[in-house]
Amino acid sequence: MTDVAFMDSTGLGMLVAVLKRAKEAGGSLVLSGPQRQVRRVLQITGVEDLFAVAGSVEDAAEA
Amino acid sequence: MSTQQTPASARLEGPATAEHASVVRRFVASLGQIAGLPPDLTEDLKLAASELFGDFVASEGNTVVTATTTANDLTVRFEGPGLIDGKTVGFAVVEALFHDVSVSDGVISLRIPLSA
Repeated sequence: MTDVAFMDSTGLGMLVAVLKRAKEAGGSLVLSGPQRQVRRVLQITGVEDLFAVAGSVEDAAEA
Repeated sequence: MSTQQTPASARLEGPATAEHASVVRRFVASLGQIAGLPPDLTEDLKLAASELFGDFVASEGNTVVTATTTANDLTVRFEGPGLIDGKTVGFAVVEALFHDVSVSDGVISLRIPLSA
């Protein structure tokens, strides 16, 4: 997500939907390299603990 | 979209469509910078504008964003179509970001104190 410079609750809703589908399929979702503004949205909405976060795509693949 | 600006206020009016959301964000970001808001607070203002504009996009019509700056504060007003009842996720985010938020007759006002 390093190229995502802005996200609001609409984007967050999509992430939650993807997370739900991934879990239903037995998988997981790791956010790689979210910028400060994206992390702020996760924080302000109180869902930051729902998402695993990695510094890079490579780190996310290993998570 | 059209803009009008005086030394103390600025106004942006345009259709409440998704493609104009970025225009509204840039507008309020510019206002925040001109008013001297810290970068983090300006980012929060952009997020608030996006949330409120997103609520308006659910309806058709024009949205008006008006900002007024005084020596003490920056007040940003959002007027748009649709029922704003303060129960949307977007509005909850705005309330989490800013303490001084009011809704009256379909107009949402954010008052942001300016540091001396």
